Amino acid sequence: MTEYTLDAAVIGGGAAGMSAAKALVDAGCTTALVEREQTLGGILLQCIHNGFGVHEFKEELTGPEYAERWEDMVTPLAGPRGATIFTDTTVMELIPGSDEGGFTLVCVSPGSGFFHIRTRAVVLTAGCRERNRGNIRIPGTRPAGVYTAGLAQRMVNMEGCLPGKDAVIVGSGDIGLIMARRLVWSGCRVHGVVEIQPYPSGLTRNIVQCLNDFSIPLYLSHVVSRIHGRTRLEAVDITPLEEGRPDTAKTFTQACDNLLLSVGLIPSAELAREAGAQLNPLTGGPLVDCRLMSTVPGLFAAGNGLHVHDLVDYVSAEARRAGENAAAYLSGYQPARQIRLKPGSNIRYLVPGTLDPARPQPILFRPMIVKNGAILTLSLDGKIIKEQKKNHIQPSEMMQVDPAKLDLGNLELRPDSVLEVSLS
Amino acid sequence: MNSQQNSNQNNKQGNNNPDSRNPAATATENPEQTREIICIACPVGCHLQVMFRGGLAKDASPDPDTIAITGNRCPRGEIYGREEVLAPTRMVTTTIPVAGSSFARRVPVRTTGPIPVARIPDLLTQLHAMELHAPLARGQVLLTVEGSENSDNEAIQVVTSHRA
Ligand SMILES: Cc1cc2nc3c(=O)[nH]c(=O)nc-3n(C[C@H](O)[C@H](O)[C@H](O)COP(=O)(O)OP(=O)(O)OC[C@H]3O[C@@H](n4cnc5c(N)ncnc54)[C@H](O)[C@@H]3O)c2cc1C
Ligand code: SF4
Repeated sequence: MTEYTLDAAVIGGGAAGMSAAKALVDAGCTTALVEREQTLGGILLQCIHNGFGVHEFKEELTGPEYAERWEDMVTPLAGPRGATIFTDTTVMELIPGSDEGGFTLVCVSPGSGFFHIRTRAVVLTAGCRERNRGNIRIPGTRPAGVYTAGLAQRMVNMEGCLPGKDAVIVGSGDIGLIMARRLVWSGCRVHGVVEIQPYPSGLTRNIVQCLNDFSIPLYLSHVVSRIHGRTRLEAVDITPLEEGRPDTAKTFTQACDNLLLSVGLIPSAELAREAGAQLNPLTGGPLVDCRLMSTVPGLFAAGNGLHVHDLVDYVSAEARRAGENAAAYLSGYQPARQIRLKPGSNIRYLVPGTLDPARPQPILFRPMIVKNGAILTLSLDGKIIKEQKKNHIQPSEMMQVDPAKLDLGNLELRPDSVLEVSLS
Repeated sequence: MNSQQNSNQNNKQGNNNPDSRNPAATATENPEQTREIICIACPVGCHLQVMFRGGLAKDASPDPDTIAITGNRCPRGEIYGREEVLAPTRMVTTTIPVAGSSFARRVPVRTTGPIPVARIPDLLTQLHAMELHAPLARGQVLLTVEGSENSDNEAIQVVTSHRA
């Protein structure tokens, strides 16, 4: 069997993978970039709307443009001392070495069959998958016509087929909202977006431009309570919630021939789990330290494969750090100590889990509340070290704080110090 | 089973203000006095009240001098609100079938800037009737959108947003 030996491998060639691979090659590491599809770009290729790259490129690009700009930066890195790019290639298994560390990637591609890549570090950037009907348990029949929103997006944008003519969308996340406009622009009718929460989970801009522009009703605090139809979807029941409980007397039926589920994303962490990495139950991705390294030494993660992001710019930046940290790991760098990072009030989770005071890196987190004029507080061992006013926060918008600006050198740090991030 | 009206009175958000772009939703014969829109110039999302002094007749275009905006937390809201009622524009993106590409069946396209909302349906019809042939580079100009310019008075075009 063919075997390649390189310093590092990056699994997944989306926004995160391209950025991690570039950082590794820039730091002098020979790097394999392995992508299942024929072209690099990942999910970006089906996100044809604009709104990508405001931070990375200082302009608003479409998803495919953002992807191709990165591809243009990564492709020239190919060479024996740089990157080896394997497209149309799936990593089937990631096996950590038993003795002196290192990994074996079991790969398969239509052209070369099975082959192995051996490396000393891996960055996992395999993206995420969509939660489906099983995850939200809608009762009723099992007709054709129920799709996840991202799958429908791929069908419409890349394959050119419509999921139906009359749609109902479950979940007000951005993918669902963007699909609502996409379907109307493709000649379909969208009869409503049903959201279980009392507030929309997508960006306001998408509520305005994807729903309000077309007078598509947004049913907040409502659920799809039943699916009707024998072979093909015929209708759904929609029930309002009163104080969290379904008010069944007010259930109404909406005819439709397709139902799109936009009910959340989960990191694809199977390869990491099978390699022995511990997962973070709050994010679904691997648990990582200050270097974005999992509990398996040498295995790093970034992008949607680590935790689900809403801004691609944050994905590229996070993956760049993962690549740089993987290169530092390969050259023998070990943090002398790590401070534990703790999610405080109104914070769902933080990534990473620790901070290296010698190399502080941005902390990403998700708020649990919607608020204008919130206060972000950082406290070290119970003492407030920084307060910052935030114009507007909401759970659908990931936040970031850069501890490099905290002047940690002048603070008293104990081996068991805890830095807590909270919102009020 | 109850009527839709009943169940979503309190919870149906957003589109309870008929909009001139949506004739179907404009049921009232009385001139429109106020319109509520959400400012999207920043993530705060202020709810703006746009008042038409003297009222706005159905299908009439508002007179800039009769508009007053409240509810904005900052001056950008005023600018956004005026633009949104006087001359709303949007970016348009879609995909077009492409023949002869080794990896793509459709190529994504975009307008080079926002175009008047009223021109969107015709543009989409025009684009969806097209068929392209590979090879295509990113940024290739497919057509010029009639009657739409950016702030530098350059015509807005439709360009490919990925190679194929
Ligand atoms: C519908 C949608 C709309 C969005 N809209 C915006 C927006 O408007 N603005 C914005 O900034 N961000 C937006 N985002 C967020 C952002 O685009 C994504 O978070 C980002 O592109 C994710 O990049 P990634 O590399 O982590 O994952 P992906 O792009 O999913 O890349 C993962 C790659 O890994 C490959 N892969 C997986 N497993 C394997 C394996 N075993 N072997 C080989 N390859 C594998 C996959 O094929 C894929 O190419 C949106 C996201 C979605 C889903
Ligand atoms: S009015 Fe100002 S603060 Fe309010 S949403 Fe618009 S830009 Fe933001």
